Amino acid sequence: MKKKTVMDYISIIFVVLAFVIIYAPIILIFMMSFTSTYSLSEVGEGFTFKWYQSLFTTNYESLNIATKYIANTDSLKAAILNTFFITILSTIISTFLGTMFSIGIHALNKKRRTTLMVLNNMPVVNPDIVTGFLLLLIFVLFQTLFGLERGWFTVLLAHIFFSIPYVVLSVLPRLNQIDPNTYEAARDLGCTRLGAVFKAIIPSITTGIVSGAMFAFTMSIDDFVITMFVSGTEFYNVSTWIDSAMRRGFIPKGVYAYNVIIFLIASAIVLSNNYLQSRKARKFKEAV
Amino acid sequence: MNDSSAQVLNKNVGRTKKLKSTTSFVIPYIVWMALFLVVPMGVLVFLAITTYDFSANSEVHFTLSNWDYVFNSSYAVNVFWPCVLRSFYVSFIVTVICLLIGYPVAFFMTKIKPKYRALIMIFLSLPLWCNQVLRIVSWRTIFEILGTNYNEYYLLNIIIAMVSMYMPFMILPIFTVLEKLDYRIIEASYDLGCSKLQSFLKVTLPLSLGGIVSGVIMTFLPSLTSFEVSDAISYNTVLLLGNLIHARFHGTGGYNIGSVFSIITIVFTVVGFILVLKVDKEGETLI
Repeated sequence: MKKKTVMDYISIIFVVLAFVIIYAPIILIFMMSFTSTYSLSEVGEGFTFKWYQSLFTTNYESLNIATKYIANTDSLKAAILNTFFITILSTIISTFLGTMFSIGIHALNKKRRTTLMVLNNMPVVNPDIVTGFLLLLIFVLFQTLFGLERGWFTVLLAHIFFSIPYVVLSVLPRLNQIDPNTYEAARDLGCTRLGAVFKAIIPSITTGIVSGAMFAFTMSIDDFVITMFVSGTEFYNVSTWIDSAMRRGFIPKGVYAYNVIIFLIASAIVLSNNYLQSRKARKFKEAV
Repeated sequence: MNDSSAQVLNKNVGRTKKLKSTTSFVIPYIVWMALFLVVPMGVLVFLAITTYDFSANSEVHFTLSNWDYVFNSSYAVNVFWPCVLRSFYVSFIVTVICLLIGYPVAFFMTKIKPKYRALIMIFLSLPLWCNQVLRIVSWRTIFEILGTNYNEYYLLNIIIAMVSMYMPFMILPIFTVLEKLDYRIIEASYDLGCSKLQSFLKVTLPLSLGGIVSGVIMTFLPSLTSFEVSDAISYNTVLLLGNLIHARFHGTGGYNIGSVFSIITIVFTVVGFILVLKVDKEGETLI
């Protein structure tokens, strides 16, 4: 065992400091979700599960996808459903489209590929507020031209728009690794064009597709700025709902419980995945 | 030599063959990007140089009055310039704090076992799963508990909340670069008579510059353009650049001035990324 030097202790202090700053609000969210009162002096008192229960006892009559009544738990449930609806749909669509586009981009020559990658990366490097404003402009244009009102559909389009570049960025490096002849071999063996794509290319890039889908899901479920710009006045996801509730000066505590649940599920998935990976690596090592 | 050139040839053949087959997949993407990126950019520029108002469907007059208003009026003196200065000041402080804490953390992470490295990486990215708006609101609650939730402390509170939100984006790119660093180079510097500090200053630090620049950009730009933090923490009393854009998207005629602000923001972003690409040509430390 190596003896710990002064430097080690200093490093540990920095790591602890970083984690305290990053995790302080998350710890508070956990505490808020388990305390019965709203008042600050009593954070940490009155342990309860009632905010969690409130998420699962549904009053179907007041559950309205177009949430008009902010600041009650029913509107929160609608906002949660909206969030899942948008996130799941946009993840599926953007993963599919992003994969197809990557396969197309990969087949281009270098010059055209670079041009397209610049175009692809623009929404990634643009600040959210600019992307949101640009999308707002196009939807306002649509509204003037075709009478398309802002609502769930424009939010869905916006989420697909900002997710696709991340899918492309995850899938493209995988495509560069595969043998360029597999596609041709599949074609020679009698596959149609699309058949060759689905049978020869897609299976060898699954890890890229999965990480792209993960990216799209993470970006979409937590998005606030872009959704706020394009959602109009009657459609809320969880982020815009919290913002709206905050402006009214009252945040129902069910939303803290919701966040804790999402956070725990995500942690469980990521940590177990990490555990499985490391076990696989260890077994592989032993086998070799 | 022959072998590798054969490989290159082979690769090229594969590529040209595929070129005929799957390039058509790109066409819908070009149409899509044109519709949602290029057209709005055009509308943005159009709005910035006219007085056109969508809701009123007014007449189009080309004018520079929007720019004049932003840069050269009492509004510019009283609101715009102080706001830009404040934004740069806040982003600068946030970036410096993130760098001063983040670099040692990234450096420490390369010294520990890969198993724990992966864990620290995970715990740095997990906060992304917690809603950002709720995290900001929670900071406000923390400041209430600490008794610093009033005027004099708003700027400091905003800086703390931003550091908390953007710190992972500083640590991760620096770590990516440091992890790839060839340890033999550092050993060589010891053999050549460097002390630990000298070796760090002359070898490690310059070699991790790419990660530092990426981290700085990924902290500086979001803090420069964010509006939600200052909005929530200071009850919309401390205005930053993002708040100016945000305020413009309600009300009539607001889009024109908002477009000017957006173009200014885009210019800042482009300058930032040109800086990154100068240092990091492959762009591998981004994202």
